[in-house]
Amino acid sequence: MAIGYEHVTAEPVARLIDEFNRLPGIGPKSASRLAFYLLRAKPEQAQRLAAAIIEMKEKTVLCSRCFNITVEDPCVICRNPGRQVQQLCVVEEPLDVVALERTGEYKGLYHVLHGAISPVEGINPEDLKIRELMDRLKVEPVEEVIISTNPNLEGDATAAYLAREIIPLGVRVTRLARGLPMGSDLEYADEVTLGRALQGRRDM
Amino acid sequence: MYVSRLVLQDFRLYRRLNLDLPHGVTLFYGSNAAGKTTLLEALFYLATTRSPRASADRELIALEAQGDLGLPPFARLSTVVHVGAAEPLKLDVVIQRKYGSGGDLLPSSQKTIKVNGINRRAIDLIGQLRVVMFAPQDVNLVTGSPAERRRYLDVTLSQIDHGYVRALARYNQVLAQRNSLLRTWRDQRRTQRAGDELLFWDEELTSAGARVLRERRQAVERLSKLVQTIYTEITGSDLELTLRYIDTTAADDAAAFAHVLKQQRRAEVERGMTLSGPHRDDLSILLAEREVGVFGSRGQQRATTLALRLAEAELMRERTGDRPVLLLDDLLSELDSQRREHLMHAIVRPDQQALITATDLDDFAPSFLKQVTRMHVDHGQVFPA
Ligand SMILES: [Zn+2]
Repeated sequence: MAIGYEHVTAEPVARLIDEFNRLPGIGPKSASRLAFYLLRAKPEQAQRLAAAIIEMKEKTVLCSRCFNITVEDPCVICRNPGRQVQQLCVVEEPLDVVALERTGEYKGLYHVLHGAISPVEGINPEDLKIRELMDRLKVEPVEEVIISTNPNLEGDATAAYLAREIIPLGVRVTRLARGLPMGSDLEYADEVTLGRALQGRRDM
Repeated sequence: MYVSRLVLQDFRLYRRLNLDLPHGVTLFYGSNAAGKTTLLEALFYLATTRSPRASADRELIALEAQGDLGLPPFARLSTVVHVGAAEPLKLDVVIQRKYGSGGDLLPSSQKTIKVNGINRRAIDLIGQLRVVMFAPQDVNLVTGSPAERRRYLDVTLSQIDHGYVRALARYNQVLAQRNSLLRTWRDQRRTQRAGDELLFWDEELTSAGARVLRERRQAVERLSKLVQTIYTEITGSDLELTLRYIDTTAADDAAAFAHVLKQQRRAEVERGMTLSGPHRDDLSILLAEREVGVFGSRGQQRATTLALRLAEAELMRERTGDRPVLLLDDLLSELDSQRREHLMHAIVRPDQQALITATDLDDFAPSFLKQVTRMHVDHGQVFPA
């Protein structure tokens, strides 16, 4: 019992609908709308979209220092001599870096974990870029680690784990202030709220 | 508190229903499987975001339900709640099936909840409408597993206290994470540093758990007094009916609970699960100091069940200052005349809305029938009598 478009839609269109439908936030209805839009669009537009997707996959890598997504390794932030190397902000996802950069409040470096601890989903500390973080702390002159994981259960669990690992190294560990709405995602917080949370961060 | 309307779309056998409800007592009658219980189930769902019959949400969606073009099938429930002189509240729940990436229907479903047209989380809906449901299978409260009695306390307290809903949700979330972690360790035979990684989960579990425990203990203490009075009234017997909370942690606060966890850590890692806490507790129901579920007669068990439900309603009234809506499913036929008399007395009074289902009007005294609004239910449709 499927949506039914397979039976009446040409197979290549159905296949594209399926692919769109796999994307986060895109339901069956939007998926068909996108597919039929592209069906009617000029060939060049479809070409550009296809090329952009392929280029993104081929030309981006993870920064070997902070694990953000980048074209050149190290990334622009890690290469920027104007950034303060004493501060290191730890986030769950690359999108969180975008959100924090938008505030204009933060001038230090980043470290992207690529997830948060969640035993239910089988995500344990060793599945995140935590060992890489510890390695950085041994060689970089970091004085403060600002933990900016999401203000939900998994984000809090990750923060608690990191604090326990890092504090014995003699590095100051802070956490974003609780001004952020509980259970929310960092990437959806507005700049003002996020900026305030950054200023009001507290020692863990 | 009362509801003035119930709107259903593709909810079980109801394709479309738009029903105005009077303030007082409404009696729905009709043959078996006509859809009487479903009306009560819908209101219970709007109050608690759960069905009283423990089935998957997707089963609530009518088989014939069709989503709009390309949208999965869904059911819609809606009601209007009046509390005192305040502006009425409109509650809406949409339960919708989900498509997998291949366009196939997934076993899971999702719900969208609105209060006065604004999207809310499930935990923010609970407590807006307060109901107490009396069902034929309620005797399981007395004779069934501890889970039935924990559910009794949870459903009651969740509707009274928003903090309880949040603490319980947090507790269950942490419990799932903690159990997964313990299971991983058991399977990998990894005990090294287990204590370290558990530290965070233990703190969260014990702080949420302590709140749940405190509220449950307090409620049981009061409920125990209420059931005693009600039981004597219904039965005329002078046997003592008491409730006692059976606590697997014997902990008074978060610190004591944490201490219990620490002591049983090895056992928990071996078994791969959290061995004590509110999720394992029970409620002991004693008649003259003996478990009613084991030693009581069928009649005593029925009367005890009725007392538990009436006490639940009374506790809600005490704590919120307002009577909950009573939902009585096909109950009266099982009660003898004395108990029925008592129940009728509790139902027919000012400021008390009650919805009753029955197959046979002959079960009711003419004097009772005169005071209630009758509606006939047939194949998912409701007709004025
Ligand atoms: Zn970088």
